[in-house]
Amino acid sequence: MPSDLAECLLVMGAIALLVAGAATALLAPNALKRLIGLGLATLGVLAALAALRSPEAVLVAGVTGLLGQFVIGVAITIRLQEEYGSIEAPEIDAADGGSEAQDAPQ
Amino acid sequence: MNGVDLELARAHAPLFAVTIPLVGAALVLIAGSARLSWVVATVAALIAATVTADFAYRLLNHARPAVAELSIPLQVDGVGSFGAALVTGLSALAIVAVGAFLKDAGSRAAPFRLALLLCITAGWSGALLARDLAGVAVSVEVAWLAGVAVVTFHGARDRAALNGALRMLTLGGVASALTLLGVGLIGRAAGDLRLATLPIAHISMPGVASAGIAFVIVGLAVKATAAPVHAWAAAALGRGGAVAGLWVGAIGVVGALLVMTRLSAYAVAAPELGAGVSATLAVLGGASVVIGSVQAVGARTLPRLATYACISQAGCVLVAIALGSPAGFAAALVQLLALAAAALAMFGGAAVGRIRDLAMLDGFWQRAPLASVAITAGTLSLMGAPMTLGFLGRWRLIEAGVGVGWWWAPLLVIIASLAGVFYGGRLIERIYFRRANRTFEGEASPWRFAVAPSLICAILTIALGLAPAVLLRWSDAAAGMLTGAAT
Repeated sequence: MPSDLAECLLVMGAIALLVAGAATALLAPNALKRLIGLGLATLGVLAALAALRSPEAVLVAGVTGLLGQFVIGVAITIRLQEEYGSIEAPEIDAADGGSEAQDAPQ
Repeated sequence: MNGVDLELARAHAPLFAVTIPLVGAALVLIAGSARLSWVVATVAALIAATVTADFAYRLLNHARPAVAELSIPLQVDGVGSFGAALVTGLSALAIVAVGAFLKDAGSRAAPFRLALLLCITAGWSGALLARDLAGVAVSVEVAWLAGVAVVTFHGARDRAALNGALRMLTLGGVASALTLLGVGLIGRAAGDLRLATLPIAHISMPGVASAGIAFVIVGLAVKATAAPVHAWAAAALGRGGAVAGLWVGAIGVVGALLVMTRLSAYAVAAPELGAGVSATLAVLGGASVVIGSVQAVGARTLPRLATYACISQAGCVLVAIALGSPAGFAAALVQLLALAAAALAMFGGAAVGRIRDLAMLDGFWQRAPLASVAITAGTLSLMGAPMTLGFLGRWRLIEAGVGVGWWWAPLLVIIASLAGVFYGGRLIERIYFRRANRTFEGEASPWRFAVAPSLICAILTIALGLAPAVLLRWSDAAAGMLTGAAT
């Protein structure tokens, strides 16, 4: 029973990290903060997987995915800075707003 | 190659479906020049398509093809084989079409883009043939990240693509995290990650397993552009260019839906999970039909309209999967083929004319008649017009829905079709009944003949709608072999 309780607490803590990271990734206006949020979310999942005693293959898959996301994310962030002179989403959206026909209001 | 070698190669078809695109990607990078790398990529995609089509043909005709025992965790089942053949076949057509747009992001980037496209093919094929949930998660991640990179490359031509790529990365990244968590929860509750054992596993913690499968489904739904978790789609596909439209909008979405079909087939068969899986899929499907249809009616650019129309069609697929019956899975497979052909026809036709806002379609028939035919056929199929593949898929969904007493499923089909008449009619009116008022920006070099794959899809859309016997037989056979009958 104590080990079940410990596992439950560890998983809950990991899921809290996942939620915090996901919220940052989806809501932060800054591209770099979004990346950091994504990293936190995946780390939370990795912690949960470890607590759940998942096979090593799943953990390795998670780490590999995190690495791939981070590399591509940094590349996108650098390109955004080069093209827009900013990595803030509101400024980028405003710059794009004038260059495309927007959908009709629903 | 003698007969023994050929049979040995055929026994390794599932392995080749994954490895040939990956080897092709490596060779493409070595080839260096844009055109040579395109030739290498085309050859690799055609070989992969031939191998998987041959295997699926033998399996679905109940020929019981031999499958080599390998240490690599692959598993053959009806939906996986059907799906792998569909994904690799679509990829071969799309690689040919991509020839016209190779230099959009610069000649030096062309080999990298082609290598990424082959990685997308390998990723979705791997997810459809993987033996366990970990393999599915890894393969989907490979395909997804390659798709993000393809959209990013288009940033060299249109910087707005970078914004779309960032949204795709963040939303897709969170979805991947949820998927991995779901895999861990299922593994903890069922004690095994193999798909084949899921229906018969002794699930000690049903609540944990249900939460796990829900996370996996929602994670995949993000990649299948299911509403309301489709926030990345318009930004990435609307501004990602022709290559992203073909590979992420058509192949990626169809690949994700096929993987959802396969996983759901195993999960629905587990007594502890079936009801929850059906409810989740039904909610996502209903929301996708309604939200996708409304957004398609309001769309002002062709890539966005095609994206939203595909979301609506994806909703019909999800409802068919939610039924959980063999008839429902067969209907889903027919609709997926219809969606794939329509998406390739529409995105490909739009790419040839470099169409963005709908006003560019005015008088398009006089300037690019073949591309106009492709767009029209794709539109008619997405509308569910009679004598098209789209109609056949929706008819099968209505039959399957009424068969299990889900009377609201036909209502959703009617909503999708009525909305299709609005947005499809608007497109057709512009193409055929208006006078051109813009300069034609489309492809004028000999590479404009790269429209051929879109035209093939348009022909398939009509031909299979008129003579569906073979397709129906194969989809029924695939749905009947859902749980690894061929392993």
